[in-house]
Amino acid sequence: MSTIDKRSAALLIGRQYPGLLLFFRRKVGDAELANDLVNEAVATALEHLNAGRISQPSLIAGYVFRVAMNHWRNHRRKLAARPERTTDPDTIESLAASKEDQDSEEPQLRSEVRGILEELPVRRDRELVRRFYLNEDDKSAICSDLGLAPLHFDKVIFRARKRMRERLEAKGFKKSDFFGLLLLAGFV
Amino acid sequence: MDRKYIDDHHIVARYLADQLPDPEREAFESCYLDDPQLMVELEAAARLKVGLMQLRDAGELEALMQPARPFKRTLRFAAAAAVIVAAIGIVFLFVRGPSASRMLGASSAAFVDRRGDPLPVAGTYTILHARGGYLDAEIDLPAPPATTELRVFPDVEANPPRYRIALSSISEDGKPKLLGDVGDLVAADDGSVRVFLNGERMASGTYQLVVSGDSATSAAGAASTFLIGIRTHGPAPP
Repeated sequence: MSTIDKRSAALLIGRQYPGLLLFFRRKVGDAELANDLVNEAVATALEHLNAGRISQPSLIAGYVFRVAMNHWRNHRRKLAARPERTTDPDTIESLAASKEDQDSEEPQLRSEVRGILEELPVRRDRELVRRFYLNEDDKSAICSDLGLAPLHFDKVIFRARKRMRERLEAKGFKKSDFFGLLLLAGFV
Repeated sequence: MDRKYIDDHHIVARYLADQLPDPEREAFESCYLDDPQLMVELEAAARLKVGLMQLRDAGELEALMQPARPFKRTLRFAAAAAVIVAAIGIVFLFVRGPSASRMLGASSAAFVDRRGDPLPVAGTYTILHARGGYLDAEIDLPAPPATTELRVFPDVEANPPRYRIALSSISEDGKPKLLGDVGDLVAADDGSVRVFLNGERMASGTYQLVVSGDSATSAAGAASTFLIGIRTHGPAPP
């Protein structure tokens, strides 16, 4: 197995998981810092891959995401960043390039979520989705406030998730795509 | 941690909200490192969250949380009213008698046409709790005059096996509005309780079916609730 360089890995992840990268930008609230987090995560994941700790290149995205989540968590908890990891300008550049792709995703993403909300016939169910996914309120609090049975809550959330997955799949997103992209890029 | 646990406990969304205790978070991370399909779930949840943030920032979210705008609603009501006026004429021409205002019946004979003949049964649907889905069943009602048979499986067995079924519409704010009920229904050998639906006065939308033991049975207070989606080909009700 040949190795993957940071720029290519970041590009592939940016193409395959724009929602997760946008999520980081939104959560962190600082695009540059978000890029740093993802860049560090890519670097760490590549180290694992090159050290043979990741069995298949197709799994690298999961590692990147896990490490990025950990960095974000540490950032939130105001833990000191590890000084040995510095931002690689090449990777930042590649992330900047993928940002254009992500920006082009934004109107489509908004339209998709608008459609999902509009498909919910009951206003209360839209409120449920907003409170769970946007406000990140607890399920029991939402059920109590809206007078919902837990089973109904599960059904509404299941439906929203299913619709979003269907939209992803309609765009051609399949679990093998990431591996396919790696193949096309000549990394395996 | 398996896929059922992840779904049942909304682990993906809680992970993205950083709400999982450390052991649960680590267990979930181990799962998605080995399962690319879970990465798809994460991407879908992240897109949902980001899309909601975008709608909020664009000032669109509040409008989506409101009932339909009055102007649009007025237009819709006007269109519906026009259809209703036409439909009432058709109803008086072709259907007459006590069945016209009823939606639920214990048998297909509960609904008759103007000659007193039972309406034909145009379809049969089985109503069970659908695991994970929003609706327990989606029903395409035939164009009137015709009825649809529903075979509903209650969660609790009544002794003696007599049941009551109530039908309610679900309003914009999620509240059920009782449309009708029918009792003294006897369960079939397979445990299902049969009821017949006359959709000529129903509109497309979400409805609730509640099955309980009839009075003086062991399951008189035990209700099984089902959410059903109905699509009609007939006129909307007033």
